Formats: sequence, C-alpha cells, structure tokens
Amino acid sequence: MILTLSRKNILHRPLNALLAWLLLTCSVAIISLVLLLQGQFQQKFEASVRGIDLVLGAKGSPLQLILSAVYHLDNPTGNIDYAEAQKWMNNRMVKSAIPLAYGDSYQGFAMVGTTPAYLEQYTATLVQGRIFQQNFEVVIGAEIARKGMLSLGQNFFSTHGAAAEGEEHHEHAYRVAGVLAYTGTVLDNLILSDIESVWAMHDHETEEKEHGAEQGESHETEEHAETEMEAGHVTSAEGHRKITAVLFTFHSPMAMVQWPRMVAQQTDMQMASPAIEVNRIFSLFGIGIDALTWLGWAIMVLAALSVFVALFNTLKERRYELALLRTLGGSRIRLLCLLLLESLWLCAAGFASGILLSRLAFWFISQAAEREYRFSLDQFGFQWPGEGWLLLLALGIGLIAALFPALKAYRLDISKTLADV
Amino acid sequence: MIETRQLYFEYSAQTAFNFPDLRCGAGETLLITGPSGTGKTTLLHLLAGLLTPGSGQIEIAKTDVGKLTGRALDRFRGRHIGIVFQQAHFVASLSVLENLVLAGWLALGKKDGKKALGLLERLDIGQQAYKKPAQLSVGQKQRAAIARALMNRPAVLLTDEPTSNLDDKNAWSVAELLREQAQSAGAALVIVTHDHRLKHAFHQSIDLL
Repeated sequence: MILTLSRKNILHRPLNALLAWLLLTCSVAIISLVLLLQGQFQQKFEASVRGIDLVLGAKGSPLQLILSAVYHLDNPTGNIDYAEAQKWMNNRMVKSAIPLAYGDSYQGFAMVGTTPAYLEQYTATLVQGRIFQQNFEVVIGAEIARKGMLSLGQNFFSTHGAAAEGEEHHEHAYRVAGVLAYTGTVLDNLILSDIESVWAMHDHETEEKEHGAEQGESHETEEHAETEMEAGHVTSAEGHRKITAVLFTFHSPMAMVQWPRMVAQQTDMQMASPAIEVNRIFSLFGIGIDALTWLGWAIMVLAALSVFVALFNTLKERRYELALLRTLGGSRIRLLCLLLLESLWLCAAGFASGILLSRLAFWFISQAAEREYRFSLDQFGFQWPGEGWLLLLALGIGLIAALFPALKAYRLDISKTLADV
Repeated sequence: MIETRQLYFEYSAQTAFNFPDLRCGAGETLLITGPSGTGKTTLLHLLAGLLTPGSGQIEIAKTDVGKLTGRALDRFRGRHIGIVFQQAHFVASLSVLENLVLAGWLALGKKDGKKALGLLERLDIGQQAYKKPAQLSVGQKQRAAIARALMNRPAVLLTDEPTSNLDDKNAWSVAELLREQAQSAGAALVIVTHDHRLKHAFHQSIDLL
C-alpha cells in the first residue's frame, strides 16, 4: 500500500517528477555509456595486443605502426625488407616472430599475408575447413563469415589497396580454405593467406607495370621496392622481398628494453611497443572520457538537487495530507518511508531508463564504428561491477536527497498543522 | 465510550486550560460548544490523542489515551478514534475509495475495498468512489470524510465544526447524518462547535468558558 501510495504521489505531480527523472536518466546514461565504451575498448585493445611485445615496421609514427600492424585501424607506415627483418627474427631471444604483409582487400576487409603463428598468437581455432597451405588459399575471420561476405570453398578476386572500390586483381582468384572461430580480436575481421600469395599477386602486378600499364597508385615505398627489384633483375629472390611489419614475442624482457634503440641505430626500421602506444591512446581518450564522466556526475548532483526541491516544495502543500496519515494511524516511520520511497522510485526509474538510453547510444556508436573502422562493439550486457555501483549510487543519492524532507515529515507536529487551517 | 477526568493542558503559563469532565457513551452524542479561544480545538486534539495532556485522564475503550506514546498511540488512534475535520483533507493522489482503503490499511493492516465501497454507498456517494477527492463538491467531501472516519468502526467519532459553513437546512441534515451513522456504528459522537443552532438538535452539551 505504501508502495502504491508513493508511486501515485509521484505521478500526481508529473512535472516535478519529470524534471528529476530526466536529469537522472541523462546522468546515468552518460556514466553508463562511458563505462560501456571504456570496458569495451579496453577489452578489445587488450585482447588484440595479447602476447605481442614489440612490433617491427617501417620508420614513421610508432602509434601509426601499432594501429596498423596490431589493430588494422590505420594505414601502414610503409614496407620493410624481409631479409633485413629476418636478421632480427632469427635471434635466439625471440620466442615468436610473425611477419605480416599487407596487400589487398576484399569488400573493405583487409587481406594479410602471414604464417600460421599469427593464428596461434590469438589461440584461434577453425570452425570449418583447414588452414591455408597453398598459394591463394585463405582463412577468413568469424565476423566476415557471419556477415555472409564469404563462405567456405568460395572463390573471389581481391581488390588492390584497402578501399572497397579499388581496382580488382583478376589474374588470380583466392579460395576460402577455412573459417575461424570468434576470437574477439582483430582476427575476426581479417582475411589471412600465406605471404607468398601476396608476393605472387604483386610480382604479377610488377610485370604488368613493366609492360607499361602504369597505374596512379600512391604506394611510395612499394614503388620504390619495385624499382629496386627491377634494378636487381630478380623478382623472386628472397632477399628483396618486402613485408609490412613483424610482431615479436620475446623470451626475456631484456630485448623489449634494448631492441627498439638498437633497431633505430642500426637500421632504417623502427620497433614500437604496443603496450606503450595503447597507453598513449588511452591517455588521449582519457581526457575526453574524464570530461564526460565529470559531466555525468555533475548532472547527477543536479538530479539529486531536483529530487530534493521537488519533495521539499510539495512538503508545504502536503503537510495536511501527512498530518492526516498520522491521524489515521500512520506512524512517523511510515511517513519517513513514504517520502524516501518516493525518491527511490524516481531514482530507480531514472536508473532503468538511463541504462536503456546508454544501450541505445552505444548501439548507434557501434554501428558507426562498424561502418568506419570494422571495429565491432558488442557487449551490451550489464557492466559489472561499474554499473552495480552506479545503481547503488543512484539509490544512495535518492536517499540523501529525500532525507531532509523525510525527516521534516517525521517531525511534523500534527496538532499544530491541523489547527492551522 | 469516552470519559475525561480533570483534564489540563498548557501551551505556556499564560495559555493553560482546565477542561470540565465529560462523558459520552456508545451511540450517544455530546456537543462541546464555546466561543473562540476557549480551547475547543485543543480539547478535540487531546481527545484525538494528537496532543498529550498536562495532567488528568482520557479514557477511550477502557484505555488511558494520555499514557500511550509513539507507535502505540498512532495505532490506537487509527483503530479506535474517527476524526472528521472542519476542512476535509484527503490524500490528493488517491481516489476517494482508495483513501478509505488506506485508512483501513493504516489502522488494521488490511485492505478492505468492499467495506469501503459499502460505507460510501451508505453515505450516498457510491458514485464518487473512483473520483479524485478534488473533483468532489464540498458536501460530498464531508460525507467522504465521515465515511473514512467510520472505516475502522471507531469507539469515538470526533467532529470539528461540521456545520459551521452550512446553511440551516444543510446543517440539520449533516447533524442528522452524523447522529445516524454514529448510532449505527455504535460510536460515541463528540461534536466540537461554536454553532449554536446545533444545541437544539442535541441535548447533551458542555459549554467551555
């Protein structure tokens, strides 16, 4: 009954309630959205960086190297010489070294030439088929299969570069040899082949170019590489093969400290640490996220204030009503509970709608991220324990806001109130 | 049944009241009259257990009300004392029927919609049961307030100036209505008023000076 009464009392003054509810909804939505995004980005970023100590690539921005080599979110910094890279890869401090050769794409999904070690790095398993064994065989990520872009056994032609509308390579068709299980990492959105396929595809291109079919492609390093190859007159010699980056895992942390400097001094390549660069990204994001979080808290304080004002204002016109409840046998504690409950209803409703709103916003953001970066955000579940705390906090704020009005109701002098007509 | 002995109350040394002893049995009616400032409202609040007497006793249903405090007093008030105020107050967010049910629930801890509806029908306002109190006329509100006061079959029905805003004809009919309802509910009816017209309607009366 007291629950019903408190609910009806709120609905009886819809304008007061509306303001408090809206403010609560907004603040909860903002804070919960931040929690969602933070959790999701951190999870995604950390999942993809798993086990990778350093990344070797062409000189340029280290952040760009990490973004391109680990996350496939940016263009590569350039190409490096495979033979040069192998000098580092074969060192005994190295636990694993995974070469990556970027080349073509299919429907906007990047194709990467690599070794089976790349799959082991993310403990990826195959749900269908087998791993690539011959040239022009590929394994596709779970997300690509889910979207129905490609399926097992399908043949397809790749497009040059990363753009979906690029020029198609019609000389060699790729064939889907296997489909990977979902990993929650970048693998889900990649098409993987062996490196030779990528080289073969571009050898062919070089021949074409030699025959005068020069295209307006802007791969500076690649063109540079190609002229080098032509100069050497050997297109298939291992020593002049190019790759994009190498992902390193070490036996000892010593290498992680020393190698970046050694590489910078001795070669024209660079080595970057994913951990350091990811931290940089988070600290960049961090400013925005902090600002958003503070905004959320500020609105929550406003919400608390509006609950307080709503209850306090109506207290004057409701004092007869409250005195009446006492004459009907209601105790002081009941009145106290009534007011606290009214506030708690509001806060609970604000929390629920705030959580819904944040999911809606998150859905829109994930759509956009998917479209722009092929970066899928899919954790719509309750963010434990962050949102658990948020619920406690929202209810706590409701209690605090209602405390003063509730105590006033508790101390109400019924005789004086009723005599004062 | 209600009885007081040597009832005394003071707000301050200057405003203190000694009330004459009074007694009103079940089904009987007692009129308490007197001009303003003689402590009519104070007496009513003492009888209702809204104020604690300075000294003396108030006995309702064999209980000394003055000795009850806190939760016990609230419970006793809800269970045994029905009050009809000069201005009918309701919980604005609830319907008339829900207001009656709430009164039953607060005192007895159970919701009895059937009883509430029966009472409203007995007082001829059954059709207003699902309206909000604000939609009722003054007369209907007063009837609803009487119905609510009778909801828990109180031992005492206390009314404060029930007729002072009414013309002669309506004053009579409200007085009749109160007497009827109190009698059929077996409650002692105490009317506190400055309305001298009622003296002709009720024989037992006490004047406060």
